[in-house]
Amino acid sequence: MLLRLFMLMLIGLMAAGCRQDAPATDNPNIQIELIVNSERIVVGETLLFVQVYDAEDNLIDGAKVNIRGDMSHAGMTPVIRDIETGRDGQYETSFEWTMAGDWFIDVTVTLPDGTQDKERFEYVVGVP
Amino acid sequence: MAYLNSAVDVLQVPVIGRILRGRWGRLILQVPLVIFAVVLVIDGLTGPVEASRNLATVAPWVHYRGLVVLALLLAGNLFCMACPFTVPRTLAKHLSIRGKRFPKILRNKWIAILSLFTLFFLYEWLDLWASPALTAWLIVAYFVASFVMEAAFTESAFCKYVCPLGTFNFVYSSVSPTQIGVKNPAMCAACVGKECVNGSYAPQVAIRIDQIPVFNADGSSNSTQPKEIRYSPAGTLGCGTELFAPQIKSNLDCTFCLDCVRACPHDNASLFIRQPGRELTQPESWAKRWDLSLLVICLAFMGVTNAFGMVPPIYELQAWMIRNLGFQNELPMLVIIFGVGNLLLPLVATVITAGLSKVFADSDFSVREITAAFAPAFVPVGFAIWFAHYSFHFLIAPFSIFPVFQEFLGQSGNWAAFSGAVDLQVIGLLQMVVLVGGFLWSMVLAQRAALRLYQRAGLPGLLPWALLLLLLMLAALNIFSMPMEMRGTNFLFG
Repeated sequence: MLLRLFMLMLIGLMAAGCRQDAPATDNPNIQIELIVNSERIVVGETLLFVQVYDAEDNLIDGAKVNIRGDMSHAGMTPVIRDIETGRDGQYETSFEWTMAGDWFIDVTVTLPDGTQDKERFEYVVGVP
Repeated sequence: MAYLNSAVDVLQVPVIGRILRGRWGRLILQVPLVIFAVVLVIDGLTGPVEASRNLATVAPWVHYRGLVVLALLLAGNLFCMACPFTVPRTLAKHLSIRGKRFPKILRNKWIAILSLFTLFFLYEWLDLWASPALTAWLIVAYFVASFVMEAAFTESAFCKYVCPLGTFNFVYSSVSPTQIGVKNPAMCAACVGKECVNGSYAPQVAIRIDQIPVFNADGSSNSTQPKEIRYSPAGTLGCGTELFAPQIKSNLDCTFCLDCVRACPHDNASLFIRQPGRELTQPESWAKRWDLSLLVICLAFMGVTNAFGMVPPIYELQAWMIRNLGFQNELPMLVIIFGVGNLLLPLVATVITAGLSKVFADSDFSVREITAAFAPAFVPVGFAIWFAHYSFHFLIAPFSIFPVFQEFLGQSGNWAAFSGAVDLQVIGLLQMVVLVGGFLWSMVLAQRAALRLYQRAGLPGLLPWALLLLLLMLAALNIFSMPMEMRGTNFLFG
């Protein structure tokens, strides 16, 4: 019985090797800015603006932007937004801060040529 | 009625009963959880550092806690029954057959109170809810502590005297609708080996012939018959927490391991359906000890303090302590907040309340006896506080474990499909109903205790306890009516 138990644990260990690393890392040729459209960040709906620049500080159009907002603690469903249209290098989406506390927003940008960049932004969200 | 023997024997349910009664019944439940625990440790130590994306934090701090309180309310102490930490313990226990007993001075609930305090304190101080790696190490520590203690002592000292999770389950399984009992106590009186507590395990096969009474339909007996009692390596170790099945009056200290059922050579012990909270109405169910009474009362207060750690006022309190008391880090502040809220306040409140109750009722009972009589009344309100808290975390993202598990397996987490949540207003209503319901149940128990203890002076003797229960419920209600705010506290120090 212990041998069977050990085998099952081994399967668990093997399964751990399946997890993939995040595909995008810091790309020096792309800069990402995230702007929150409110003076005080509190629980509720807001607008997020993402600006994407190249290495010469030119705004980039035509990128795909994925925004994923997570809280620092376990159990809150992430808020995920995909933006596929943008004008003048600016990408806009509605976003809901679903609970007060520590948040981190991962912005992943995919350029038309497939180049990717990912930046993390941290916020403390207050109660209204 | 000291022993339990109800009409409904859970272990007679087809398939489920047979599996649970079987030799490997417990292991069948434990193996999946052991594997899951290993997965949690692996993900906690090697997976993403973000708590919301790691199984090590999502499973224990969201789903385990929510499911445990639900199971305690609807079924029984199912987590202890399937506890993964006791699998290596079983091996350790075989090693400790001739070991020492746990020191007598420690055979009480004082360590359990401290371990609960420590767990809740570490949860806040180390932000365990936000740290997969620390949670993984906590799981490892559980396995090690369980193994070492079981190897060192003959009884299951870890379960009975130390384990904070088990202690929580012991206290609140007193509201559960199931309990171990016996079919015929007269059989237990005639039983020679008391295998339910002593076990049927032996390193080598040994056989004993007992004369067992033959019972008539009316329960009387006027003849005996020989019965072969077999001890062997395939036998069961008997009750780890040293409970004798016919004398079990309460779920306290019962891990629901069913070893007593497996060890009983007369098929006399079983798991029965009972009235939820049965033991709370029976004064002889629990020993009249300070450690036991304070455990129950402290655990209810810990529920309030634990919830207080997740609403905005705690950050205001900590900011105030930094400004006015000059604290430079979080540790002393949490020691004060948790020390006062979880230990000092319940202790002082209990002694004052019991003292006032004694004076108002003009009673000759000691403060210890009065506290012991009213302590069971803190179970329903305490359970309601924990239920309200844990069900919030569970219901706000009940399916979040699925996409996290998908990501663990290397797939893309389908968060859209598993983002369902119960509406916050519905959760708020549920919390209010549970808290008020728990309080009313507590009041019924306190009233019964007062009438039993003080008789005609019951009402004045009840008043101080009723006030304490009311304050506890109102404090919890106030906290749960506030918006949740989950922050690491490093921001306080810039």
